[in-house]
Amino acid sequence: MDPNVLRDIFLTESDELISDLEHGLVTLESTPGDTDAIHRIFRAAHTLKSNAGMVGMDSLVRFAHVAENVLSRVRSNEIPIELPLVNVLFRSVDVLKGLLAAAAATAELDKIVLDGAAEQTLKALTPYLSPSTGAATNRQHEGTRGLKLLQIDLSFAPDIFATGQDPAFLITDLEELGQVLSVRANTKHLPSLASMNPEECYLDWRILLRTEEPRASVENVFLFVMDRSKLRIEDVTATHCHLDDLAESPLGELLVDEGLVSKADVAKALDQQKAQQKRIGQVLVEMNATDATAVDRALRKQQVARQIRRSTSIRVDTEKLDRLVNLVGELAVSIAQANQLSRQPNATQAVRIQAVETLEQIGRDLQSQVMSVRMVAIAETFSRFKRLTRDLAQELGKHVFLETLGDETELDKNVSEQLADPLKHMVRNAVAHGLESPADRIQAGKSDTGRILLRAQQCQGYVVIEISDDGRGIDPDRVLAKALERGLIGERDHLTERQIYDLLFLPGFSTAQEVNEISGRGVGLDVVRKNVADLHGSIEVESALGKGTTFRIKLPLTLAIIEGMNVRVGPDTMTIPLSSVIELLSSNNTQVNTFEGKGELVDVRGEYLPMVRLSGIFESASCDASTADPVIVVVESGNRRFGVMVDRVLGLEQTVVKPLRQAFSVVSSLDHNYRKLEAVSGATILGDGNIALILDIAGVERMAFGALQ
Amino acid sequence: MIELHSNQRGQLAVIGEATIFEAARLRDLLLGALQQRPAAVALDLAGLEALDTAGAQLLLAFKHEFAALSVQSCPPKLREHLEKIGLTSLLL
Repeated sequence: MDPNVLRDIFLTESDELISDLEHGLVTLESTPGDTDAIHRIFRAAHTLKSNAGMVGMDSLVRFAHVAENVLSRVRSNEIPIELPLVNVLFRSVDVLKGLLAAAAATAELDKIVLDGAAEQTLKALTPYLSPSTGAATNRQHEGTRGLKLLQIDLSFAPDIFATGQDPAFLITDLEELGQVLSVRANTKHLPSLASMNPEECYLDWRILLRTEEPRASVENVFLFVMDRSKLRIEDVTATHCHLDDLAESPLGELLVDEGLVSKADVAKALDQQKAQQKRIGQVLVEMNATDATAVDRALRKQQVARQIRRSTSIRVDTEKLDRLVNLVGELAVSIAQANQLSRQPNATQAVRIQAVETLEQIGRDLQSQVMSVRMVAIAETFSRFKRLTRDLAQELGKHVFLETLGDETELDKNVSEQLADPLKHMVRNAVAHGLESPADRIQAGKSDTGRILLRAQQCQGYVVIEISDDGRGIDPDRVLAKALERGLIGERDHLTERQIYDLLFLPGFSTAQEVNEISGRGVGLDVVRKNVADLHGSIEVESALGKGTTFRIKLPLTLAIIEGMNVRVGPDTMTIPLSSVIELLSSNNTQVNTFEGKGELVDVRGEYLPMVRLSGIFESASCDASTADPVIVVVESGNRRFGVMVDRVLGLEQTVVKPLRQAFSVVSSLDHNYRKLEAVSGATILGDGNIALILDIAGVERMAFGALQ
Repeated sequence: MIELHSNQRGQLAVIGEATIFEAARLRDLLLGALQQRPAAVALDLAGLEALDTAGAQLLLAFKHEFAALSVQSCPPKLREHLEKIGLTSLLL
């Protein structure tokens, strides 16, 4: 056959095949799982290659061969169809078209060579042939739903600059593939200025990239420097998800991981646990497989992981972030100004002070903005109760309408999360015990539908949350009788109405086994109060018989920063949360009397309040001798007012609360002094670098006076 | 063209383009400044018009010669480049 006729047939057929390829790729791009399209593309590429072989067009055979092999791996599901691959395949079709155009213009098909663009496309196809982008990657890909963290270690050939490349360009390219989380330059190999070749690259990089793209696309970025550079890409998703794993790991697994118990022991313990209904840790200790300390440590680790994980994400209004960015901008300008001033020898003192004040102001604004980022609307928490109320009301045959007010009130994310449980408890109590049945309500002249109101509002530095119902109210006489019966108060105790209602929060006031209409309101309220106290808040109750009950929770806006009053006790500085402080009394002008069996009482305008010396609780070197005029700080815990005697009041300060373990590195001595720690809620680092303990007023009260007496 | 000027405040002002094309000259200039053993040197980058990784690497090597060399007034655009290659905290 005439070679020209053969070539014409080849070209005509090729046009059809190219068109098949293109249609197939378009389909594949929109429907990556379309197996028909994959088969069509593969067949077209394969036929094109065979036909090119028949006419002796080696360049096209070579190119199509690589493309066909990649498609073959796609067809057998070894590599996933993703946008970068589809793009390379489209580029491959363009190369084929170019080759065919060249073939149409010449009789000597064997003389046609691959041009630069074709070679580059070949290079882009090559990574898809390497086994590392094969099935294993694919599986991993599915396992992490595509999103992964890649750690990229880069060590370039020394002459990279001379080739016109700059690592910055490559990092820009990486940014197109995902989120570059960190870029760390390593200067270990950077020689002294005198001995360095200014045109050589001495730096190495470690880059953390979060991407959904396959590893091959990342490798492609370095295609042109790959030959002589060292490139290591490691999928570190698993390492960075460690916290997730830890939080979800069963205790037994954690202990095995730590090498503290054997797998066999855990299996045995699990069997026993089923039979005995005990906790796995307890069973393991009883089996002598491990000791209680190890279990405790593992449990703590699990808890910490859960806490960390819980606090890792927060949804933030972009407007808040914008304001933050603006402030940071202002900060940069002010720092530059201050910098400039520091180098002007003739700048006046006043100008310098002004600069510091500006910085201070920005610091304060930044602080409040950062805190606002942590704030979430309470609506999120409130909304959970609509369904709860509806279901419970239906179960109990009551008609309940739940209304919420102040949904937009914001409070610290941690506070909001920790508040959900106590609130749920109280809403449940209100539906179950607070509201009457429809028949009773009608008899009492009310609507048959009970109303529960959840209201949140911000006032000053606090958020006040109220849970009110228009139910039967709480009868103080019956509460009193119950408390007497339980021995919680004595016959002769005279309590105000508020003190009577406070009894509801005492442990043991009411137990779940004997819920009745009144004491039922007390179920679990001791736990609620404890939860609220943990959040540095307080709770009180108001009730009118026959009209309804309101629980009022007062919480600080944030747990991270509190207003504190710094006081001196012996050699130590301590911080009393300002929210607990009522007033300050000079001990010189105040009568302090000691009463048999009641300890010291302080006379506050005729009212006798119990008093505690902090130096007594903390066993500080007593100071009375050295301090002429100690101060009595009148504080209020959830239960009562009392006086706290300190040596001196140092002043008010915004205090950043740190957990104790974070503030102290020596933990063992803290554990040893555990009893004293009951009176401490955290620690803070003072301006002079010293540590101050933050007092937990409810804890001080418990230590000084016991639960009630 | 890259130039190095010292001002009365003991600062060295880098002026021009600190890129691979000027790298050899920049190194010589910096070495020259080093040989004069300046007591307290601050590097002023306000006059820097361009910076690539080769240039940044030279400035970094210069900084390493001192116990405390402050590098000041880096133009925002060049700071971006330093940020990208992870050198901001090492150089500025």
